[in-house]
Amino acid sequence: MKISKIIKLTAFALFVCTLQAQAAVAIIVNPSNTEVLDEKAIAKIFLGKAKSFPSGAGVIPVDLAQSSATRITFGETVLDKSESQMKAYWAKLMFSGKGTPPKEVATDAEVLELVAKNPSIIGYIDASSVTEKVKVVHQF
Amino acid sequence: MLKINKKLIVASIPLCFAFSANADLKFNGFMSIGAGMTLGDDEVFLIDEQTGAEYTNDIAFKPDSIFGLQVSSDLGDGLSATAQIVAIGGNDFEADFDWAYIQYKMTPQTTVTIGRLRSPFSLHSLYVDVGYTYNWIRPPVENNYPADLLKRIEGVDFTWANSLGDWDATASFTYGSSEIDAVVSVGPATIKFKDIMGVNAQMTYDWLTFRAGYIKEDATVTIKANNFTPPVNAGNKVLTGAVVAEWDNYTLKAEFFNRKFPDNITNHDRGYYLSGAYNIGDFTPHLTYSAYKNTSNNNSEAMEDYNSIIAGVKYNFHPSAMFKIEYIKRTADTSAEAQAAVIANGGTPAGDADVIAFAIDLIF
Repeated sequence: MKISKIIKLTAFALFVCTLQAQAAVAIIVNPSNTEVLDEKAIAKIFLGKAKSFPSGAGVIPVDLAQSSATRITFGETVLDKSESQMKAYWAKLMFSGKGTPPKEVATDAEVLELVAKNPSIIGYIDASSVTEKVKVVHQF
Repeated sequence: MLKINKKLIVASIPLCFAFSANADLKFNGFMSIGAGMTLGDDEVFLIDEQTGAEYTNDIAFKPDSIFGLQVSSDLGDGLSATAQIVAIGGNDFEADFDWAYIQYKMTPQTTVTIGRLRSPFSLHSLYVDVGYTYNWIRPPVENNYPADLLKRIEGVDFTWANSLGDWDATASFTYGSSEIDAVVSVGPATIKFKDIMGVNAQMTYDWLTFRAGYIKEDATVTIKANNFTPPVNAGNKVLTGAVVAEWDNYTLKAEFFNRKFPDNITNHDRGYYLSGAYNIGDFTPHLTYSAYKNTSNNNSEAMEDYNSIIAGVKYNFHPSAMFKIEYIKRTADTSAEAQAAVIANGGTPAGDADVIAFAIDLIF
């Protein structure tokens, strides 16, 4: 193979790899929501520790399905828990009456719909699914 | 004094589900299949003081096997009803309600729960049946004796929980009564607990968690076989504490209990454990030292004195399931005279034992 072709192929391969590394997760809220949220505050909401937004307004976190790749990435990055650590965390609370996990929906589209309709809802989706109907508060 | 008709409460919980045809019904459950044995001919290792489940030199599957099913209904406006039925191998898999309660969220931070509840003795006591939630096959038995005899309470619990910056805090007050069948040193008995009062608080700051608890109760032990022995007053007070440190892939955990009985029973017993675990991908090896001592106020000689070293590995082979292997080396330091005294009282002193046990835990 010609050197130039190899270089082009390598460059293309690297480009594709970077694309995959940038498969980002976006945390979204309703466009009317003006809350200031950092990663720690978001984690507390999704772990059920914070029962409201920083302003005191009620918050309803929404999760994707347990096996979803986006959810697993969200868990590992924002909540600092692996899939099984998440299950153990909620099992402790759920089987002892101390808490229930957030509602689960199957697709990014369902999250978008819920967030667009309700200012209390906070969810996360693949960054590529973001539309102008929602506001992104954090992305990684 | 609060009198609660236990049967009425437990029976009425299923009715809540019958009437709430529109409410969401959520089913969850857990299962542990365990097997274990001691490695020496005469070696015996007691797992549960109430059921008498133990490991001997023949492999046994019952002591660490558990099946649990929970159904929960959100009735809306902060009200929910939950029932959890558990069958433990140590009890011949007799299914019984471990939890059956109505819960009301008074505010986002405060919750009241009424019905049958698990007793809040330690870090793990509320979910001790769910092996999936901790590294051991079962929490170290040396720290678990008070919870063995008082597993459930029929009563009420008030819990407050809040989060502020790096702090998370929760506090609970529990009140109720209980009645169980148990096998004590002189034979089968009924133990009635009343005026059970427990308070506990837990505080987490970033990677550090502290827990403190205090439970006191009145208790009378009635020996079944014997009409001549009057019921024995066995009320007691138990102080508990725990600290957990979690950072990177390390977890360090320590817990203790200290129990005092009234003057007619001169016992004073206490136990504790220190445990360390390290996560390597899907594997978590762990090492624990636990110890128990039971002394008599009349006699400085320890009636029971033994400790265990627990070494094990937890392997998360599936997101919803884990495999555990555990080796326990127990050393009894009780003096020969004290052991003889326990035998004279109709009991079996805990002796040296080497235990190997396996378990698969899963949740759904």
